[in-house]
Amino acid sequence: MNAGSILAGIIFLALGIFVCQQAIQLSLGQASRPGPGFVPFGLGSVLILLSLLYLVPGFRAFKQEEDLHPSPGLIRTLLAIGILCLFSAILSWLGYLVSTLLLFLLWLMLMERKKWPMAVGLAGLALVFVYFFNLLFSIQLPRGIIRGL
Amino acid sequence: MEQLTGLYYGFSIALTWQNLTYCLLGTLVGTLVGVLPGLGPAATVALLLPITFKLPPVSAIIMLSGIFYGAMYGGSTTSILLNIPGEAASVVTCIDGYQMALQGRAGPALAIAAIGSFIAGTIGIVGLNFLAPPLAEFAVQFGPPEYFALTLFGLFLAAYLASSSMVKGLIMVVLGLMLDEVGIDPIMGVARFSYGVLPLQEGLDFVPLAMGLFGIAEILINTEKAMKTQLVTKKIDRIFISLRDWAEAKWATLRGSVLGFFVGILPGGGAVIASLISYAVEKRVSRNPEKFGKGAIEGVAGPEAANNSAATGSFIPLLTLGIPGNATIAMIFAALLIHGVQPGPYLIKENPEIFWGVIASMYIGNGFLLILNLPLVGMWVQVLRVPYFILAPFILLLCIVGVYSTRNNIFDIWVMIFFGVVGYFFRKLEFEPGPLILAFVLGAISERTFRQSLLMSKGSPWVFFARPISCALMVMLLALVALQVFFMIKRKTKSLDQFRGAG
Repeated sequence: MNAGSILAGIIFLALGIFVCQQAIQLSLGQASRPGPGFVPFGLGSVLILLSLLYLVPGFRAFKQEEDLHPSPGLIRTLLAIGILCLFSAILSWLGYLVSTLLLFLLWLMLMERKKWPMAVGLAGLALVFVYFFNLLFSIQLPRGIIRGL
Repeated sequence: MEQLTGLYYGFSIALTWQNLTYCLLGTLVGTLVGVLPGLGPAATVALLLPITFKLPPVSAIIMLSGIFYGAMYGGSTTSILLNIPGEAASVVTCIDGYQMALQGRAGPALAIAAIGSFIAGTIGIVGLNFLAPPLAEFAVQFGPPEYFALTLFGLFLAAYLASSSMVKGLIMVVLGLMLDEVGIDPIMGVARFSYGVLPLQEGLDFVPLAMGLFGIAEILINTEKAMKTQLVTKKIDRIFISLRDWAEAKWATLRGSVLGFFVGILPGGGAVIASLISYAVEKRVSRNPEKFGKGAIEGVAGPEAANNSAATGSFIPLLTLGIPGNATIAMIFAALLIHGVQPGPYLIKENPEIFWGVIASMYIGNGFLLILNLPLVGMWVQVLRVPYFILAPFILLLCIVGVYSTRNNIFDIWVMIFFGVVGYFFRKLEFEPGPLILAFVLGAISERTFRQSLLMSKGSPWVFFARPISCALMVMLLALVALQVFFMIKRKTKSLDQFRGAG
């Protein structure tokens, strides 16, 4: 088991404890009249048990990874996650069209190292695609500060 | 006979121009997503769910079902020509399919995949046609304890079958059930785990969760791999099989069809497992097992037949019990609920147009798919030439528009991206998202029936053992748990012995 798996196990364990604590606050009720926290408490307890079953043998088989440098693939994925987070942060402010344009440009130029004419062309195509999609299914997308677009 | 009159009624619905169009559209989109690596049927059904809101329920379900079984056909093309499974149920087709393509036999491989899929699909539909009505009649007897026992059994089986490790699968199930706890308590009306956030009080929506875990996570995984594909460019001259090929493949096709159908019915079963089992069976019964992995036509015919009949078989628990058995069927279950249709034993009486209309449309859809995947296979080969760096942002865009259009809420886009990132890490750590989504969908039924059962019995857990059906299910569940614990202990003792021996 590697460090990532151990960390995941610890997160599951913490989540189980948190859910149990919250469930107690919600009121557990009794078996004959279960309260709103009854089932969440049960689920939290099962998650704690499963996390321990997952973690204990994992600790024994723990292997320190030799190469701690992130692979180029992982860097690309982290970049993609960053672009997605940026997109979700600016969406309501800048509106859908501008955000989509930015998403395409960043995705193609930063991640795929494509030249700007191709990126702009594909971003333009994406906007046409969204326009027809909206027209066809009459979806109201967030418009943001540029109301006219 | 009830089944034949029902089918006749179903054809009168499925053969209208509108429903024929949606059936064709579904099978077309299904083949497309099957062909395209990085977009599976579960994500696509979730993606197109909002589009179906304005359609009549029967047309919506006809289209969504078409996507599901259509993807099973399309997946084989990518496996054979690219050595990359177009979707998960075609993983084993890569082994012998790609070898056949390298030997210049891509034509027969594609042909047996399509013909085998057609035969298996038809066998599956006939099974569904004749088995579903009596099963629905039987399921009318189910009360809360039976439903709870069944959902529990189904979730346990899903965790057992869909994951490499039982504990990992069960963790996913519990997480799915927990996510379903967010929102208003169905019995007491108290807000749970929502912390004053309004969209959370309504509960987490199914579409952003599914699109995040399946759509966005898949894109992130493929981004990491920097997917570069090597299409087998040898000319595919003859998409047909010789009599000799057919003689070699016919029994594999028939075995795969029957086996796949029954695996498909199992809760947690489905197309992926069916194809894996079929490959193992074919290798075992073959007179020349050494041919497997080097281009054996049975290695393509069996699994491809199995995944198709399993896809059809998995409609049985949905239509008769109202319990989805795998992630894609869970999406169709959600679609039915959104359209105000309660799947379950009363569906056949209350909404016969959906029950019979969808079954009849499958016969038609299977015909469409044979045409789409035999004479028109060249079209899909062209689709495979579109580079992934262009496809990825477009799929992303489709996910965002799809999610937003469900409730017109930016919060849902955040939820999707969050679960996309979580799903990416799940995949990296080999946690299967399928059981999570299934548990999320079944969460509401299982909690409601569990609490109702306890209210009925004044808190006694023996209520689940007091009635024959729920008792049988609980005993099977406990036996499965005991078996797992036994194997775990046995493995531990064996490794300890080896350790001592080495010492």
